[in-house]
Amino acid sequence: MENNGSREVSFYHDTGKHHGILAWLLSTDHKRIGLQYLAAIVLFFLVGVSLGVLIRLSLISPGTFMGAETYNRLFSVHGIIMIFLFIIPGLPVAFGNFFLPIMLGARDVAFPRLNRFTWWIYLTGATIIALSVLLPGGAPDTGWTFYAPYSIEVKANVGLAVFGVFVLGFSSILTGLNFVTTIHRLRAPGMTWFRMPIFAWTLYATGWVQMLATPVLAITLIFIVLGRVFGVGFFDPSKGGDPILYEHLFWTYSHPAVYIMVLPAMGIISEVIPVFARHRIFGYKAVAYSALGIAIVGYFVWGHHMFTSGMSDTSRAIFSFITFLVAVPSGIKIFNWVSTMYKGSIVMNSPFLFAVSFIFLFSIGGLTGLIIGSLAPNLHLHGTYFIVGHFHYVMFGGAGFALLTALHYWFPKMFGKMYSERPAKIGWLILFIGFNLLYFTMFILGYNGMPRRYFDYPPRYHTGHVLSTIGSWILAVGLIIIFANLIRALFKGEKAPSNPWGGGSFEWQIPSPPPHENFKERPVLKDNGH
Amino acid sequence: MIKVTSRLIIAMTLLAAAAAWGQPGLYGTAGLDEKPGGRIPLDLTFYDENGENIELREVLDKPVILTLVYLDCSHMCPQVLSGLATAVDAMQLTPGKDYRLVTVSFDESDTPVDARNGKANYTTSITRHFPEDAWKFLTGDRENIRRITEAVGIRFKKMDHGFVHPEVLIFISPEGKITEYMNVPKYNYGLAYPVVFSTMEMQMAIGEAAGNEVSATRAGTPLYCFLHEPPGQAKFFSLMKVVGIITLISLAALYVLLKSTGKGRGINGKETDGE
Repeated sequence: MENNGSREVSFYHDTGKHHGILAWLLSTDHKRIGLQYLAAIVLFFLVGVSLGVLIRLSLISPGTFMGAETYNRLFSVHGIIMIFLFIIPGLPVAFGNFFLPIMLGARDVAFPRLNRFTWWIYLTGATIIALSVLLPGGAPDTGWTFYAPYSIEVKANVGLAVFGVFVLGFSSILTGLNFVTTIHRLRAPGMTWFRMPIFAWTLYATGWVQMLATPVLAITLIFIVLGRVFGVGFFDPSKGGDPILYEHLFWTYSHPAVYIMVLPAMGIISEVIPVFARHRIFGYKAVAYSALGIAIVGYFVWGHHMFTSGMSDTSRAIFSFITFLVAVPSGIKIFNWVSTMYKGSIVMNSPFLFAVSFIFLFSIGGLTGLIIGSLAPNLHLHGTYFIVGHFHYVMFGGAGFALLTALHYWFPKMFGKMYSERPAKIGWLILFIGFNLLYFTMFILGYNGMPRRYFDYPPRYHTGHVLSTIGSWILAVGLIIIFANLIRALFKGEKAPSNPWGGGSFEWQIPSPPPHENFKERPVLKDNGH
Repeated sequence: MIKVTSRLIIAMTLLAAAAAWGQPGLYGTAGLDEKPGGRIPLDLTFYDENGENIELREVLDKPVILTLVYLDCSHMCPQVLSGLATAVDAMQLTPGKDYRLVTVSFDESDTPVDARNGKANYTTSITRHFPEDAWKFLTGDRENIRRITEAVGIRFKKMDHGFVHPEVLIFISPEGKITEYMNVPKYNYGLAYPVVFSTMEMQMAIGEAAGNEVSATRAGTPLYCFLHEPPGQAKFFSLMKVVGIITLISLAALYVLLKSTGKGRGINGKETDGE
């Protein structure tokens, strides 16, 4: 199959009946849709990072660069963009769209037009959120969680932002449906359930979470809009409602959403590690089942976000216990990744470096999660920078690093170009150092009592904030090098071979970039690829 | 999906509108009009725990911490009285000598038997030596209840579940003068006894009552005792349950549909391939 690329027209050149931008927007090709999603989420990621750097800038000298109100809007919009426009859609819509059908040996997803529709919904939702930030009235300042009653009473454009998130939810639900159906229906001959690439397994678990959890968020957000527009008091005690109910409904979605973000990331790591360790993945079934385990158990832990909000001791003990249970499947995955590397012939290429740092950072994120998941430390650490450090290690160290892993791993396949290794590694190292300086400092700040979301603070926290901000600059330099290297490769990169890393899954058996319908003839999986 | 959602939204709106109808002013008649410096009529008569008639002047012979509750309350009253019992243990002052606790029920259907049970409930948790007379639980008829609640400025309202009313400690001097109102400073979620009074402030207030000095309310707004599950909430939760079950059933149906195999439904990983 090697080097048959020259004889086939890639999907970039096979535009179909439309031309120009319409050839992209109206395309039902999963690869074109995936690339558009990728462009959008990378754009929002970079916008989010810029806002984050501004937040950090404000914190080294509160009041010098911006007022408290601007600061509130800044961290809220940072959160809304990062969570709802970047991480939650993130890896599935970009890499899942591009690679899931190829990995299964299919020509496209099960419902290509529905797929295109989700992209349009995403664009609509993103536009609505952008409007909420830019329109007079002011960007939301409630934090990304839109807690009632503040989100109902505040004057800023919260209604619009909430509606945007509501719209995005449908994109998520339909994508989940599409992927689940694709995995059930479109596997190639020989591709039995337990021969699927792990990435497909994680997308499968994610798809069910998206379908089951996202409607809860949709309803919750509609209640907020009804409260703001019609004064309906679902969360207003004087009208028979309950503000705690909002927190329950919100986290019933938003905790499973953490696994929407992290499961595909774990899938990507499970693809990359075996390829670069030249070793089959250790304990394939355990890794596959642990994805389902995380998805299922993840539904029953939302209460740990609310230990201090008012909850009975029994509920708190149960939620805390189940939270500890999530660590088991996550631990299985980490154990298996490390075991895969054991006695492998490791090739230290940039995708591998990003993947290994994922394991390291995600482990810190996960273990600090156990600290705040236990009741007594939670009372002390709740609402502090410890939490901020924890979820950045999980989200950025996890899903963010997985995005970078995937970009470096699949870049040659997606664009048909090779990037330079050296700048990628330098960028990785700088990013890694900056990341730890930025976020590890937050654990110490939080442990010492610095509350999150505060605009100002007593002098004793100043050193920590300065260190953290310097970390944010180093991190930004790392990201600039990484993305500059990739953008340069787009235009000046050497032509990529069809299988630069020696991967075993289907996408490495077709030309880079792939032709319009992926495979000339239906592929058959003969050997167990793992 | 959109159709279902829009129907759902309409249903929710109607339901919520129905639930919200007539809600404003629900607790309109319950409240607290503080009357620091006001006088308690000493000639009011109540029943004590043994069913004996007792005049207020008989229990007001020393500084008194007065609480007005209803005895079959299962909401805030037990929390406040437990907090008070805890404070008795924590304070250096001697109960029955330096001060007395008086709890009056404003529920005219409460009987001396209820009062005796209530008293036993709270006094047994006190570990220090505690004379029988140091905490009086009084019940009375409508007229005497009306006069004492008016004198201290407490307005309560009868509801289906019981009463809506403010929870406040009222300090009374031996002359029958109201010297201070003390609010519950904070409701500590998660503690076994979530209502905690500051012993220091209580001792100061008792001292001031002994000296007949009137002082301002120290902090906060009164804590209200009310049904924490508002009317309509049960309906709302049943709606959530129904919607949740429908979602689960449709997802289960989707799974069954996807698992079912039939003609023309692809190869789906099977080894036997026609091609």
